[in-house]
Amino acid sequence: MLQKIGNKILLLDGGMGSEIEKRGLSDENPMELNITHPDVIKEIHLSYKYSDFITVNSFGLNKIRYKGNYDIKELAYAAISNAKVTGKKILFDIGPTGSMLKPLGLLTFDEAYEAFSEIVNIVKDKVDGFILETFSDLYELKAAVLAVKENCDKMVFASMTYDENKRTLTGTSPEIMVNTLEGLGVTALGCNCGLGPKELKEVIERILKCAHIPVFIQPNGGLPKLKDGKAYYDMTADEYFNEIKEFVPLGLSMIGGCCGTSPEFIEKLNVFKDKDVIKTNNQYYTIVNSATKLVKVDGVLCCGERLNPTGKKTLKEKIANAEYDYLINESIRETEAGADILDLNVGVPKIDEVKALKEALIAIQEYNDTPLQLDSSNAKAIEVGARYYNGIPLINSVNGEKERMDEIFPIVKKYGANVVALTLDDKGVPQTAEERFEIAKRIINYAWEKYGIRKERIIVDTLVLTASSEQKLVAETLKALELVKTLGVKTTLGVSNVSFGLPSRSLLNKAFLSMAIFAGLNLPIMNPLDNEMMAMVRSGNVLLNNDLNAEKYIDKYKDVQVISPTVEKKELTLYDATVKGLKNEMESLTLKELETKAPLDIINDILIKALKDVGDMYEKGKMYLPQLISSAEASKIAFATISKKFPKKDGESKGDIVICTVKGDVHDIGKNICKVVLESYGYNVIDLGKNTPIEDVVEAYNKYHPLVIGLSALMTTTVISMEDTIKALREVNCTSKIFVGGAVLTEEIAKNIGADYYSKDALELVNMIENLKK
Amino acid sequence: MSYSNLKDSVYLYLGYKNKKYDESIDNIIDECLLEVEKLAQFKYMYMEFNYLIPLLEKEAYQKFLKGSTNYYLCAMTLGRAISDKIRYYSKSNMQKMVIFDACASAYLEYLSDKYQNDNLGNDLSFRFCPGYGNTSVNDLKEIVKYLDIKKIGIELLDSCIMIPEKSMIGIIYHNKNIKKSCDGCIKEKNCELRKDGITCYKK
Repeated sequence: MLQKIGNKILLLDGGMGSEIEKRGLSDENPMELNITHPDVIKEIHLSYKYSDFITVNSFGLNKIRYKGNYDIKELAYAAISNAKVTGKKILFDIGPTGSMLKPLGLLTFDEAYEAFSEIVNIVKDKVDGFILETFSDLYELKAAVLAVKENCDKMVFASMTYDENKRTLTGTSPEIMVNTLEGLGVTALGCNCGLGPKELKEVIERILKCAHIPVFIQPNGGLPKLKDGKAYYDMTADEYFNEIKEFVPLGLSMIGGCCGTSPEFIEKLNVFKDKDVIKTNNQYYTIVNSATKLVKVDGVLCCGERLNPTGKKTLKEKIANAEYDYLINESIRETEAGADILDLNVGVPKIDEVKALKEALIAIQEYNDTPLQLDSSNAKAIEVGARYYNGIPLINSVNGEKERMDEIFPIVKKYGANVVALTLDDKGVPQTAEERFEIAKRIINYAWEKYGIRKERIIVDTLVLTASSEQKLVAETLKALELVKTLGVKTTLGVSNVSFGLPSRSLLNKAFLSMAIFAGLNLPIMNPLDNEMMAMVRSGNVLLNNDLNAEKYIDKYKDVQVISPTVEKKELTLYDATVKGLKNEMESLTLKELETKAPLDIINDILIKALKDVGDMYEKGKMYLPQLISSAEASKIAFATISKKFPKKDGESKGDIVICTVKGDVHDIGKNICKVVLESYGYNVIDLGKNTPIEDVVEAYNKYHPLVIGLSALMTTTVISMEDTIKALREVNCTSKIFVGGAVLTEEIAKNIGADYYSKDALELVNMIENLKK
Repeated sequence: MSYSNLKDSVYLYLGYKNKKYDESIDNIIDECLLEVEKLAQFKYMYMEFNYLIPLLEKEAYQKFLKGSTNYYLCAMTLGRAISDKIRYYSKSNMQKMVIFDACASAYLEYLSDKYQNDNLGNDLSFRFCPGYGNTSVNDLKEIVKYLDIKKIGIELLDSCIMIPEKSMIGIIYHNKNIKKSCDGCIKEKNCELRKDGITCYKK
């Protein structure tokens, strides 16, 4: 049977839920029917007599989803026993946990993995394989796939559910699903449920156009209709067959059905059984993806280099203190500047790099779906990064040393990652292009022969040496690029290295980038915030015929105007820019003011004055929340500019404020607005995030002894949690003033739950704190 | 989509009260409405009842239903991509985040009204959502026993918060004379809008 998969068309079974409903048992828990009505379940399984695989009636059987009175093991064994009466190959059905994973929900990746592992370990010796189906969340599906593959070596089929938008509910496209599941090494992949075959046509075609492993589909029996408050499906077996048959010539390997399909549907499909699967011979590409964004490495792209602490004091400090907000903001700046992939390196001395890389990537991927390049010399950090990354990452790096390859290639293989291959080995950096070419060949061959890693997953770096000390070798890098391209791989370079130690670095970087693009560079690692470097990338794509009709180039540059130096610009003051929230002007105006004024004078006489005036206008209804926030954000930039020129000494800060949304509450818009307004006034805000455990708030109090602790909650149900948090703080004799706020809070409620103060909005909060300080 | 209908709601949600236009942010509202429309994966589910479920025997619901035993339980959402974008803007552009959030709220109300008119008729009451009018948000836990909200990608947390955040669960029935009021609202005594004679809902 295993050998048939992918070679001969095989049949899965059809709907179980709809068959249970027909037998009048839809009010019972379907899992429990395995014990309470085993004969019914057996009868349903037996009715799928044309199926090659029988799916065990175990869809919701995991400790997070199943809350009934039976033991999960007992139910699982009963379910398997019922399926085994058919004498066919049985697939244990694993569905989602039913709870959303973070950041949207509360479940962690590890909790999902643990729940799936538990059930896998219970049943692995009793089944022929696993079918993971009806998943919407790629991250949750990754946890399930790993749970199967790490606990047994049985076959695993995996499928996701798509809607009319051709994406899953969490935004995963068919191509992203294929790249990720193939990378994770599933036996077969596909789609099921959600829609009928007609509505799923485009999704199925897209899967078949890019998959390289067997594809299976299990659509619903059309779209559900409502009658007497119940859903029913009225598609006939013939209609279903007529839709499905269109996909067989496109390379379909296995066919079944989901809700609304029945044994008659599968019987009709029997004409396809054991026919040869049409081979698609789809091309392989170098693809890096998050759960919602796919990047095909082709033409010239940009890998942002700014999330690397080398030579960056502020970034080093932020990483060392686990303050990832800074990284998140930098990552967003890089993305908005046009970076396609972001290099992430947290290599700071004396920190736990494994922990830091995991935390940093989880923090970034919560806000930014640009795919990541995980950059570390620590193999354990790379492994943990690849595991917790939601998608298929790029790993930086391996080189020609066998030891390093044997450390990293297993990780690349297991998690389906792509990998940068540096053309050096234990003898050091080769002097010639030819030697680097040989190392590249050796790495590619070793990856394939020992680990089965295709060359499309390898991106070769022919090494950039600095022109200031290795001037003759710069050309070798470019020659090596040309040679390496003949191997059919993509290439990358850390472009800025070329200018290290020389003045006007950007000139050299631009020139080198241009040469490298012509020599075959695909993925420069560079600063995307450098507009002229990005212009090189975009121009390169036009000149090399990658950007057809220069569409993207025209779209980017058509509105760019050159400002004539004779045109007079109206003088804008820092005060005006702060009031108007003109963020782009703030840095230059602040620097200008610093030429003639002391920092404290600028803060008190201009920034704070502007914010107070905005606040007054807001209170009088002449300005509104968007302007308040805009001014606050602008002011923050001014503060940051001043801090950069005049770093704060200890004890100079206006005060620490700890804020959070309490345990059980995931709303944080109001809290975030408060944070930005407080920061604009010069306070140091420690944001504990949302759904904050009580003990974390207490720990933060003990660590920072802040001026104020601000607690936010939106729901009446989570005000209870707020009260508990306050009680816990009082128990440790908290001396900080406790402020509360949120839509359902009032002065009275605040008093009743033991808070010191209630503030109705961010402005009132900051005014009250300013008064406190006085 | 007619944005002019939505923009009034957006300005109200942003605290503009009687003012319906602001040059400094009007373009941003337009941008956000377009983006919300592009990202939204609107889903709606409902179940029709001709008997009272135990929850609706409570006084507040009886006051709303006025003796009727025919009604719909409904759930709707704009989907996860909207939440992801709100989160993204919370880091990259707070002002836009606030405006985008308001646009998403307005769009959800708009699409929900439209779906109901198209599928359930235009003689419907307002959407009574637990938490309103002297009812507890905990009542949501009762409603979801009848509506499999997972099918449209909504999860109800223990705290009764719905995720994705632009989601609603409520009760409607055929009586267009039943309009929303301020009675029983948690903010009834200290509502900033009421002070100026404005409501957060369409009168």
